[in-house]
Amino acid sequence: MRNNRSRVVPRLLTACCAIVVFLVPSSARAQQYLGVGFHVGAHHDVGNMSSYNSGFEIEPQTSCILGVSFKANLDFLFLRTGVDIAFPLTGGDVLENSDPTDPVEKYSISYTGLPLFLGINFPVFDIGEFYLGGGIAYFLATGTVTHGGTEDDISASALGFGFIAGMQLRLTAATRLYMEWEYIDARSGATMNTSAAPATWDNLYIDFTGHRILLGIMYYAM
Amino acid sequence: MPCNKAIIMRTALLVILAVAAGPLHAASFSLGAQAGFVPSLGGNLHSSTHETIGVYNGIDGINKSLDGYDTSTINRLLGASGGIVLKATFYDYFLVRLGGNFTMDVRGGSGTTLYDTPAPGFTPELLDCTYSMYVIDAPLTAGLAVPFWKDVRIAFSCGAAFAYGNYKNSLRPESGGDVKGKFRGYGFPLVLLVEGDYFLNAKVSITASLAYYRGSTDIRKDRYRTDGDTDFARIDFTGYRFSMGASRHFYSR
Amino acid sequence: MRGVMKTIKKIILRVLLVAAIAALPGGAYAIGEIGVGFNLGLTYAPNNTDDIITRYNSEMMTTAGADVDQLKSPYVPVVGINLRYQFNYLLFRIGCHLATPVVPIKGSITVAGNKNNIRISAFQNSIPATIGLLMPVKKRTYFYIGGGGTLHQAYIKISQSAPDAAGIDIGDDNRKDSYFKTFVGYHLLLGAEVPLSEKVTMTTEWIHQEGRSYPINNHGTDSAGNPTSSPKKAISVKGDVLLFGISYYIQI
Repeated sequence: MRNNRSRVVPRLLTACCAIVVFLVPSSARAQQYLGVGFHVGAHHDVGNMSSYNSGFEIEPQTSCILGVSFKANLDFLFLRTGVDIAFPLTGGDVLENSDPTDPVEKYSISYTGLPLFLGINFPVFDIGEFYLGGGIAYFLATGTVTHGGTEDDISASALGFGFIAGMQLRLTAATRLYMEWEYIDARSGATMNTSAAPATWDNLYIDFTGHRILLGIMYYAM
Repeated sequence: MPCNKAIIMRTALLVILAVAAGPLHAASFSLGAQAGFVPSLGGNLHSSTHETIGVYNGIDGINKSLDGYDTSTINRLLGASGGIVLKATFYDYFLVRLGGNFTMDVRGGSGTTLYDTPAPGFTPELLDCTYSMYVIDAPLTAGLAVPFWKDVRIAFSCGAAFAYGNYKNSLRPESGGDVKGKFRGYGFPLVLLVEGDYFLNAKVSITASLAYYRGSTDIRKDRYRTDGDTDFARIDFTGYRFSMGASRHFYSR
Repeated sequence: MRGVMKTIKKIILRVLLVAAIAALPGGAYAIGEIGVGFNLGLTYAPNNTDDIITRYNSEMMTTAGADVDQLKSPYVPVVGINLRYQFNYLLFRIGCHLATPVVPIKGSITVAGNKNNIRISAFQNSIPATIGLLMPVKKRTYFYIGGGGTLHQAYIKISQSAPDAAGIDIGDDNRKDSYFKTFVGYHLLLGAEVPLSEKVTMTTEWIHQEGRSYPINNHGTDSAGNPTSSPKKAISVKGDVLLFGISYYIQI
């Protein structure tokens, strides 16, 4: 069952992308108001564990991002939202720990981000546009943290602030290829105990701060 | 001989004017106003007093929670900023930009956490924390502007800012004995900037800018003398800043 | 879990493939060109030396009875070359950028007549390979955005003249701490290009780089002057650089 699904999902997605790119009829539009896009991306150093504890020398976690985006354009203004789901490609490892009171060994964090950016479009003839915006993002995370030989589940949420810089290139009258650079600064409150002394209070927080690069295709429905 | 000196001075002045006349003749100027926000104003706001309660990464690490204690998360500061921008563009492509900004915290920086008192064993106590900061800065950058079509111009520039910061913190245990820190200082952080102008007409444009500041003051000594604690901290100007605004353009040609 | 990861990787590969194909159709300037460029730029405290400087300054300032001359974080020039290939909406760029402080990072602490001079040196050589999207505005005028991998060579050395003098305990108490490593990181790039002549252009590029070495042994000497390999430390190259450049184009 899982094998079937793992074969079908990528094929379906590829087919959808191909349809969007190649088969959507081309027609001239003066303004493209509302687009829906699909993208993949990456986020390096998820969790920023070396910032959480300067006694940690880490191998950072790198995550891949799958997401859907919605972009509404009104003259020079745009509103960009969506859903990004980040899966760990490589888990994080604490390779050297000079802080014996906090024996974190490994971590793996998955998260869902809901960003909302407002900014300005800088259109370039009918070739595409460059855009720059600022905004907020809400994150929900789950994952595991191994400390002192035991693996515990963790969940956390946070609200953050950041910016987006992107570029869209016109493929057909209704489709655009886009690449975006997103930066969000967000940290949860303390959600889990990893400290050996005291071993009761929650001290570990999840740091969602980081730069993300996204590449995708957007279809303008209006 | 004084006569020769005067001739040299006058010749030098004429040469400077002649060289400057070219760019000035081919320049356009703009004056604008911007408002925006600064995530993580002041960074993690760490100070040496934090280390006395076992916290080594400032506001990030101060958060603790435990069943039976009414704690709330202390978030990093979100700054709101406003300012003015003066830009000169020479020969279409070369940009010099001078700004003046005021930024102050509008969100985060207060809450209740726990700390382990020096008493033997684990003896947690509630700790009310408050952080605040404001920054006045003037970034001077130079770079490349790319005008296209009639209505868009995007510029990349880099330089430095004069930045003055004022940072205060207060750690108040439930049992009393408020410990406060107050720091002032200035620095010259690096500034990288990308800015776009969308021209509504020949004179007025809407702008969006993204700036990256990196730098801080040196380590400053606490200016509170009455709380029995001497704190040390730097004022960190590092971070990204996003702003939007409008500019009025004046053309010399 | 492994199955899910496999599926995700397949999805990513296929979306990337479709995106690459999508970027190929001919536009107004559908030609392949190679450009060779020279870059000059500015960054700050390479290899996150400002973190080390802050830690040392903080330790010096909190030392009782000390007379302190604090270390200053340096502005650092960046010099580099790059080779770029542009084809329709795609940009391929490889560069080599060297950053090292030109003004020495020096400071000192004096306690009861004992003076400890501290000096920090660093260099960073980055070789970023970028794939990006290119927006042709007009002939030889482009905007681009991209990302890719970077090969970093990073070096940090911290010297102290009297780390074990009475009343002084700064850093890791060694006379010399020296770290060097070659490792792979990532970068994001935002840039623009304008023409100066038919074949010469001017570029400006904002590069954000991320990367962290594995913890590496110290090639240092302890306070008695004997070789030491501790403590192990990693070098972080996280930071931003703005580069200006001149490129010369060769039509192919």
